[in-house]
Order: sequence, then C-alpha cells, then structure tokens
Amino acid sequence: MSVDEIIKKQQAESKDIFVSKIYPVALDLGLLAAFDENLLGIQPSKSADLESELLKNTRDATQLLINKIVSLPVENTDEGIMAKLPQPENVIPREKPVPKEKPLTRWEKFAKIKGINKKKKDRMVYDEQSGKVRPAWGYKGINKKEEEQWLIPLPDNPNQDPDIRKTMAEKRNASVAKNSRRQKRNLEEAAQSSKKNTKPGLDARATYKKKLKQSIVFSKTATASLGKFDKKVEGEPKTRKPKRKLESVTRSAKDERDINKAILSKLF
Amino acid sequence: MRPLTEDETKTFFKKLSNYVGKNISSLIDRPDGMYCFRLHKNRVYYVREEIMKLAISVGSKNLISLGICFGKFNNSGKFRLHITSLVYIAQYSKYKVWVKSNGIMSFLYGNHILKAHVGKMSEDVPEHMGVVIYSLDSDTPLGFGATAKAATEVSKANPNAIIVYHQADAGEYLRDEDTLF
Repeated sequence: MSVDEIIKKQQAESKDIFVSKIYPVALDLGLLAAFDENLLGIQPSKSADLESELLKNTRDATQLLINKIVSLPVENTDEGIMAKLPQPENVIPREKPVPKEKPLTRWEKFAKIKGINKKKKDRMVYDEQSGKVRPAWGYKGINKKEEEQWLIPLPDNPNQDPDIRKTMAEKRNASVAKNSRRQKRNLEEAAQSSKKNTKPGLDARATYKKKLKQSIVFSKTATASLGKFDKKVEGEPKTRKPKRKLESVTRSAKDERDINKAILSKLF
Repeated sequence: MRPLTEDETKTFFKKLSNYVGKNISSLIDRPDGMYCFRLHKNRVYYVREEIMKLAISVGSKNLISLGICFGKFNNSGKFRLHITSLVYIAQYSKYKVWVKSNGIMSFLYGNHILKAHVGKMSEDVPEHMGVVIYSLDSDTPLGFGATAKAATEVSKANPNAIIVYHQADAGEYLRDEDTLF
C-alpha cells in the first residue's frame, strides 16, 4: 500500500471539517452553544433514520463551533493551551426565583427615614489612658473600664446600692439583654410579616399576640382539670365555659303547656 | 327555681308515664287553672301559676318548697318519684293493686308486696310496670311500686313470691319527713 492510498483512505474515513449550511449557524461562543435554524430537509420515515439525521446535523454544528473556537486567541496555562472565550451573547434565565428582600428591622426602618448610614465599628479600640488597643466589648473589653477602677467614688444618693461595681455590671448586662429581646422581637415580626395569614387590620405583633393567647387557651385543655390548677401567667386570657342557657323562670304556664304537649306528643 | 329543660322534661315524663300512661296530658292541661312544673334544688314541683309567680320573689336559698313535689333528679340525671306525687298518680293511674288488710302495715313499713297480701289487681298489668297500691278495705292509695310479675303469672306463683316491688309508701311521710318535700 502506497502513501497516497493511505492518505486517501484516511480522508474517506474522516469527516469534512468544512461544513456548508444554507442558513448560517448562529454561534454563542461564551456559552459554547450553536443554534442551527436550517430545515431538516427530508422527513425521515423511520425513527432510526431521524436519529442518524439529527446526529449528523449536531456533528456539523459542533464542527462549526470547534472551527470558531480554534480561531480564537489562545492562552498558555499550566493545564495546556486554552482558548479565551468572549462574553456570552444570550442570557439564560435563572433557575431559582429572585430572592425576596429581607424585611427591615425597626432600627433599619428608622435609620432609613432619618438618613442614618451604618458605620462599621472596629472591634479593637485605642485606649488613651493605657495607650493600648483593647477590644470594645467582651473579654478585657473597654466597656468595663469604669467598673475596673481601683477606686470608685460613691454618689450621694442614699438609695444607692453600696456595691457600686455590681450595679454598674447589672446596668451593662441589662442593656445587652434588652438588645437581645429586641432582636428576638425583630425575628418574630419578620417571621410573622412573611406569612400570608397575618390578619388584615392587625400588625405583625398584634397577630402574634393573638395567636399566643389562643395557644395558651388551647394548652389549658391538656390537663384533666382544664388548667384550673395550672400556674397562671400575667395577663393570661380567661377561659370561660359557654354559659348554660335556661328558660326564664317567668315563662307563662300557657307557653309551658304548649311546649310540654309537644314533648309529650314526641314521646308517644 | 326554673322551668325544666327539654331533656329534663323528657326523663320526667318518661318516668311518670310508667304509672299514668298518656294521662300526663290531663296534668298539663287542666280545666280548673294553669299549672306548671318548676325545678328547685333538683326537685320538680307541680304548682299553680299564681303561686309560682309569687314564689319568684322568694330567693332561691330561702325557698323551701312550693306546690306539690313530684320527685327529684338524682346526681346521675335520673328521675325518682316521691310519695308526695301519689295524689295525682293515684288519680290517673292505669294499673292498680289492692292489698289485703294483713299486708297494709308491712307495705307501709317499706316491704315488698307478696302474693299472700294481694287482694286483687288490674288484669292486664305487664311485668316491671308502675302500679299504685290501694288498701282493699277502704280503697285509699297507700303508695306505688313496680310489678315483679305480669298479672297472668301471678296465679302460678307461690304465696311467698314478691308480686310488687316497693318504691314509695305513705309511711315515708313519717320516716323521711325532713327530706321528702
């Protein structure tokens, strides 16, 4: 077998890299996509024929795509020669819906009205007295500076607790507790307002309050005594039994006679 | 004091019909005046309308009794007839038993009526039916009870067999004086 024959055989086996289409195939190199808008031509009767026809079309479109990619500017990386793809032309719709905006907290609402911008605070603060950088709160925090003084003058208030350090610490902890309470309230309100079943005419907090009261009433039915001996919570709603409705004692004997006659006729 | 509810009226009438049958209607609808039933401290009273209206002005704690007490509802909601209702039950009773003089005292002390004591009885009394007991001599009502046997079976029974179970007798006026009215 001569060299020419081998080349000819090779050419016969390998498919043509130059594909001609009546209508040019649209390419989006950024997405590595080819859009063939040409008609399929003959209508193949068998599904197997259709399959091979589609396969041939796909190969041609892919060939055109590859041809274009090869002609792109290349980049030499550690993993080999890479083509630099342009930005995609088509926009693919996102899979998931756009995330909803988080409801604003009370402070955020207030800051928006007042035009207050959030400033990021540094955790570490410079302490002028000692000339050191200390954390603003927490372990060795600067917010405990006053309590840590070796001498604290007592105020002239007679009602003051003699342990001034303790009252200072309590005050500091109370503000932390207050903040965490507010955070909890914010979370509850956010959870409520996102729900569809927020009652019209009631804000989130009122709805939450109403539900809480209802659940207290429901929980009372858990014990045999219907909550008679349970510990009472402050502001707990009263659980009232429906009142028995009785006839008036002054019901006239005439009416009673007719009623009794009706009952009697039912019995016999 | 209050009128009876529908359920209470039903249980009451059912019990009463055991003794007087359909004659309850003549208690309800009387030609001589308007009468009504009132419940007070679980007891049912049969009372004339004018007296009932007067009794309204008496506080429930102060009111001891009014009209004629027919009986009481017990805690399980059943109705129990009292001897005080005998006046009306005897008047309208369907079935009667007459007791000989030797059985009268025994019955009035709360004993059942034996065959030996029975002077005569209504012919068609079924079993477990309310009957009014009369004395054979004077034909006065003494109390009431429930038959242990149907009238047809009485002739076969031995002399010591119980014919009527005791329910209430006139002796209770003395024995249960404090709780009766």
